Amino acid sequence: MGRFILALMIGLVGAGLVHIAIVFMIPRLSDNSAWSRLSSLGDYYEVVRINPLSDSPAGPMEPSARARRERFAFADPAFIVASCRFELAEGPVEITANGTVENFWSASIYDSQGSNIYSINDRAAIDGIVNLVVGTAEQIEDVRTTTLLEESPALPVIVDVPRGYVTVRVLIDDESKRPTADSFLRTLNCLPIDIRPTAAASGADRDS
Amino acid sequence: MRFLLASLLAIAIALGLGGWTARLAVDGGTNFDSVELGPWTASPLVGTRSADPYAKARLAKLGQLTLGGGEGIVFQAEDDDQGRRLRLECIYRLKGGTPAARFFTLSAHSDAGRVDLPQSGRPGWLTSNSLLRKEDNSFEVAVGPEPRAGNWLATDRTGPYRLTFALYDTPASAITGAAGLTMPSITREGCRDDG
Repeated sequence: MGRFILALMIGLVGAGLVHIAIVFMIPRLSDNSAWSRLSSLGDYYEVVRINPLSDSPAGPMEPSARARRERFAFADPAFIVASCRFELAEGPVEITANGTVENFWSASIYDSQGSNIYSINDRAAIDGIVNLVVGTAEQIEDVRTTTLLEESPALPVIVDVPRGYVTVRVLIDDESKRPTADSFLRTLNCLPIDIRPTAAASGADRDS
Repeated sequence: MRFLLASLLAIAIALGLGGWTARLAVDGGTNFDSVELGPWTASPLVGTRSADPYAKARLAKLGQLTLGGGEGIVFQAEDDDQGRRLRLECIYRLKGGTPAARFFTLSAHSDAGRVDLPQSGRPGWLTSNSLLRKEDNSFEVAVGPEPRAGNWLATDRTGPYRLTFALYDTPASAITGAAGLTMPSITREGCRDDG
């Protein structure tokens, strides 16, 4: 009898540990997390469109597997959104779009677990231009010394994560503005910057 | 033999109870950091690194892209002013003002996060840029399946839903200092019978 009470006690303590372990593992393992979905939509630096998960009256047509992955819960239908993933081991990443758009836009940087680590909107950006250079403190320093960052409108963003993703949202407050907003978002680019001239010494062994 | 049985019992309790309570806490739990303004709730920490582990797990299961502090903040309401669950087949009137923000959007989502888009030609979302306002800058919005003059957010289908009120480019004080902030009231005006 005593043995079963002991088993019960051990079971309860174990349940507590299992509970904690599961809760902490979900962000890493969930295949529905934003990171997992974006990973299946495109490779690093590939710009993908994100749509709201919706109940549209189009009928009971089953969306394709890809469409299901690009539809995000609780998205704001008043926005069009594009995103790309980046990895900083290959150097800092530059996020740019051509020209400006009169609509409100905002950009966010998330770590791979979905936590927002940086965000900005058109008024806070220099001249309202989408031009961010994202890197580690070291990489941003390298960019500063190798290029004329002071003279370019690029906004340096220091992050402390090895990889993450960026979203850029453009407001459609009037349907007539959708085409210009759409073509603006089409020019969005995510590209790793080559800073090898000075970083070669410290970064050569990462090239495997 | 009895040792084996006892061990199996301990393992079964640990896995079963641990898994079940974890699922319960993640799926059904509420956020610890919520800010309430009347029927509206916001969780400014969700989607940041300061979020609690349950909120992080919930976010990973949902795959939602939360707004950053520099973008805005989202309020949601599940109930009207009288505490009745919002339903798509009912007509509501939103009345009042909002905390300072450059603009806001209003839309309807299911509990699973699907945005409710009505038939084409009907407004499935509103932005404050196209909103009609009164002289004191306050506004009224009709929400429901039947067309209304003035500001109207169309809903379709039936069942429970949430109103999503997203404020963009809003000062941080709107999140932290809740005093003196107002959000619109939500009054139910009636329901269609076919729900």
